[in-house]
Amino acid sequence: MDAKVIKEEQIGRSVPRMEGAAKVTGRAEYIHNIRLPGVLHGKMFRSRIAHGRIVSIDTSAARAVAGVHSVVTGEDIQRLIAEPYYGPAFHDQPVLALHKVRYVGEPVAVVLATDPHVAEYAAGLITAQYEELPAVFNEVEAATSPIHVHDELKPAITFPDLKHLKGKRGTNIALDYKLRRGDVEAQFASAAHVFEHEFHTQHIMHTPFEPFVALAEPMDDSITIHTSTQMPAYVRLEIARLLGWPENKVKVRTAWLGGGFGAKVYVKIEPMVVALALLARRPVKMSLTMEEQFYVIGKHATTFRIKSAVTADGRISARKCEVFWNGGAYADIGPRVSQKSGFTSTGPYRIEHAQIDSAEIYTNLPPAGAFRGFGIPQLVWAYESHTDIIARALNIDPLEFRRRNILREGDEHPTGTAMRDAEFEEVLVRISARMGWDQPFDRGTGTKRRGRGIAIGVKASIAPTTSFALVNVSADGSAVLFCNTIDMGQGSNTSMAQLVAQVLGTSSERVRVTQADTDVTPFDMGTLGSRSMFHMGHAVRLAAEHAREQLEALCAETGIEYQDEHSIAQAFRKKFGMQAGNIFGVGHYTSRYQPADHDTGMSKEITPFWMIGGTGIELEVDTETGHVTILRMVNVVDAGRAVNPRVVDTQISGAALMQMGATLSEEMVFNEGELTNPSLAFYKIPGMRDMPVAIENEALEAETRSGPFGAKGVGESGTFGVSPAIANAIDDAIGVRLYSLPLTPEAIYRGICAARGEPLVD
Amino acid sequence: MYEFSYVKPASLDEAAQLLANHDDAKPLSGGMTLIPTLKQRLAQPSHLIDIAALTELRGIEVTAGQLIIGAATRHIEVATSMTVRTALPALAALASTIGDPQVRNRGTLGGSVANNDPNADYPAAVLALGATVHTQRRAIAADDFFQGVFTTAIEEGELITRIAFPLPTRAAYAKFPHPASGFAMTGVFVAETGGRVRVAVTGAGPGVFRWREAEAALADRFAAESIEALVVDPSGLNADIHAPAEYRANLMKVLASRALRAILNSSEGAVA
Amino acid sequence: MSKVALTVNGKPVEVEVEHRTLLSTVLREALGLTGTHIGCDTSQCGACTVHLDGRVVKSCTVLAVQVQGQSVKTIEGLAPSFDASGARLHPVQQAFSECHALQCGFCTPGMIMAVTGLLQDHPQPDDQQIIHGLEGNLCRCTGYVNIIKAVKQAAQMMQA
Repeated sequence: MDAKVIKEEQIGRSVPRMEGAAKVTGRAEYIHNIRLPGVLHGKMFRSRIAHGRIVSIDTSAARAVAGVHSVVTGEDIQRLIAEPYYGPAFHDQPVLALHKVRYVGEPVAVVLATDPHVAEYAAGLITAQYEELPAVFNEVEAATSPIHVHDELKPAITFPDLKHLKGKRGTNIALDYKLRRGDVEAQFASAAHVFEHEFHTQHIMHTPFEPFVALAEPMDDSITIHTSTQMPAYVRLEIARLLGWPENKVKVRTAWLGGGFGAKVYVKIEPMVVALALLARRPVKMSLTMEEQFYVIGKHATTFRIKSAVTADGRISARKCEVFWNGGAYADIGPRVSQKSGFTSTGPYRIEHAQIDSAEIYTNLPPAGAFRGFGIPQLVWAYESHTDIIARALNIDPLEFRRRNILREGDEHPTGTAMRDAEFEEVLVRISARMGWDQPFDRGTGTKRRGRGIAIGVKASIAPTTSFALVNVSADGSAVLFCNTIDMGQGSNTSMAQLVAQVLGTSSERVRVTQADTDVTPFDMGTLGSRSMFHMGHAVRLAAEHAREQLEALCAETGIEYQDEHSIAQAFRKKFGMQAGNIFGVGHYTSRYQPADHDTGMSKEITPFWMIGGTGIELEVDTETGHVTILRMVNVVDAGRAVNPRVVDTQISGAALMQMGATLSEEMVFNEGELTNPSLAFYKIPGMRDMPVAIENEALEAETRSGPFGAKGVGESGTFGVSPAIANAIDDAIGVRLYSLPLTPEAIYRGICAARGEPLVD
Repeated sequence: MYEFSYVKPASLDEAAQLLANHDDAKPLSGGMTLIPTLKQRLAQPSHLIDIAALTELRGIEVTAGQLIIGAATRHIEVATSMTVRTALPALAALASTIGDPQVRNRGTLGGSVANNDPNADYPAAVLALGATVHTQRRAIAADDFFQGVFTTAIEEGELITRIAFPLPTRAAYAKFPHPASGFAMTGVFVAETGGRVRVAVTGAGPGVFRWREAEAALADRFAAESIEALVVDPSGLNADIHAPAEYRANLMKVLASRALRAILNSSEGAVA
Repeated sequence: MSKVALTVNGKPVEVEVEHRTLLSTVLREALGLTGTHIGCDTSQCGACTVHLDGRVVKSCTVLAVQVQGQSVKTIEGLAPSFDASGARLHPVQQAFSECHALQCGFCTPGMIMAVTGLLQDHPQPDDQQIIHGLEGNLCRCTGYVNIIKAVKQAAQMMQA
């Protein structure tokens, strides 16, 4: 090996993706590809009504189909699991519907057969009778509705701030986060200007291209679950809890994930597949279709009422936020979204008087949970649209207005946590510099009008959480990292290998990272919320440092100077007389956190780090059709120090384009609770034709002093500013302000017609 | 998918015979609509009669002032054929906007026209150009052929063999694609043939239709301004999750104007 | 059931299939060519793209019985002599890997097959040709930026 390569700094190096060759040759392993002898395929029968009591389920015709192994209902599941309810925040979701159905598309029964065609055909023969109940779909209505999705709230033990909801009846509110700082009402009464708006976001779906897939393989005294999950350790924990088994009897393994984006966190279809396999005593595989994915999990629709008091010199003195999160029929991780993101609802601004009410609300729609950004894009959409409206109304340049109010190092966030290593102003400066914000701008002519807009958002990391890592150094100096961070495309394996190599003084290419397998890879809370580079990064660093200490001791003992892989190999040979042995380094990390006070919502340490992302947009509106062409998109993030700049760059583009889809076209359209467009033929995600004409990304040269080698997470930051930057640019172009996503051509055209006094009627 | 039997006849006669013998048989051409329909179990044919390779259904030629295209001709062939691009560039351009490369490599003219999806592109060209749809039994004028959503004059066992397009003096197609599927949310084909103007609209209504008011206005004056002066009544137009009828009414005018501008600026073909 | 004889990645194969069996199912299950992925059910995503007699098609929208006597090329056939050293990647594969034109990798095989199809028709494509040529393939991760870079790099490599 070339000594020069070995000595190279590994942090900040754009190491090629380790799995690049496997993925471009079609050899990369996905759970999607696994086939096992004797496997049964499961196909679901789903509820066609939004809310009702199950009177009867007729499975006789399905059972009679030749080739059907069995048909399983919720009552069958209860023979195996007496309390078959799961969920990270509430134990509210039945493995298969029990007694009640709560949304259209809820799984009611499953047909098992060797031939998936047979299972699918037979599932189509199942019928169910329900006593229909009134349903509630809108989040604001559901907050006070007499219709209740659940009779009684059943919080899981995991989160202390949900304890007070235990046993509560007669409500759809699954979490009520409150922040109370200062006196907003007094400010509103005396302020020079008061602005109040209401914004809406729509239901959307992650649509990972590898849809949910899991395969459960019962063993003599254990079970193996092959699953496309972002959280193998949690799957193990939750399955063990449901079965009443010790964790070590549940083995969860993954392969490469064909996308996740938050869809594959916590448990999804795993409890069902496990229960079916144990009932059938055979391996069971379920691979959902793209259509079925829409009934599993999505992103919260929201209503956000925001009110600000502004002083005569353009400073925000008070802000009141009321956020209603449409959580759907089962809480999933929704209550975390409404709290962990909810406390940032006032935005990245220095505001002395703040009030937030952020509520997770059950409705009779498919569940909503984590989705790239964990609720932040919905919030930024509202507060940055609102901020822009204020700036324009006060005749202050939108950039200047933001700079006047932005949080700076050491300032106190409304929650009471001081800002550290959060480069808000620099993000604004870099966006505006790249856009030439102070330069004249071509505004277009005729039916093609141009405008530009900016927006910036902030996110806190989910905390407190824990990661463990294990580094195994072999006698030739090469190393394997065992960690449960799941590479679902974000490039974490490559980046984590770089951290190991940096500590050991070897090259990244000589470090391999195992796929998660809970029998061997140690605990990690999960791959979500951009937490991995920070939390797992620390654990990996500590594990590598632990290995290095032992390697240095081995070298000292054998009289060899520790330099590189060669010296490590020499030391092993000298100690054991041949190429033999291992050194194990272990490390773990738990982020610091102080829970928010229940009454004020405040905390001195509410997050281990802040994520910041902003976007600048130049666009052209076709005023005849409302069609928008994004001419230029500038994304700037503070990701701390970039461990792998090319990986960071791809994460920014990917996040921003995903959010562009959520802004311009994506929408799950419901009609009385029934989803009308559950397929990529009718649910529009961005294609190549929708790309901005020009896109540029920048990760600031910043440092997160609390992070491993100055790094922090970057998976979501590219999403934050996109939606409001586009809306602000549309307003700039044609003087039309939109308050609801998505900003479809029709919505924009409708706005144009309304603005010229010829409203389009339905 | 439900089970079915696949049969690949050697001749058009055999194909017709098979269709006659099996009530629930369906012809299979490119399969770009039929196979997804089968996958979703929205159809349950007993037999699929694969007509895509029949020589009687292939070929592109210009004779006696007409462009004649075999029913099994794929979109990519229409889009790239020098014969089509020379004789009827608007049709070649239209074909190049259908679906995506994979669809264009499989889908066929006859399949699209026989299916008569209310958002399909080809029906607009067939109707605006006043083409004649030939089957193994008869010749059907475009005005008689399209009879509403997924409905045509085609009878049981009848197969489209070729379509004859009179060559227009000038023509263009403008389309606003459905965001996800690429079908026409609305598409307008404007053609002047033998001194007569015809305007066909797809995507906006329940099946392709002729926009008579536009035709009359353009007969008076062949200019975008004639279209802009029209008032489109949205009642009866399509409304779906992507656009209400009023929006489609607007698109009809905008797209017709754009087609006209394309013609008058003599830029060839389709405008998306 | 019918026997279907076809050529896959240059080798003649014969498979026995139900008439409703899709080409993608034959490739993945009967022939073990799992590089052809299934993303959606409605022919939108393009993850299952292969070449059929040299033209790109979505193998989830073709019946296996339809391809009797025809020739199929899958991602596995693009660089048949690829080994662990990575030395024998097809230029498009190499460019995708080098340009970070992939993240989760699920759309990648189909995308690469579509790109090789595009480069047959347009050996030096401009942006519009790239967009038009790849509009049948969706990617949920990358935002496409690096895919376009990779297409251009591959075109240069193939010309050299």
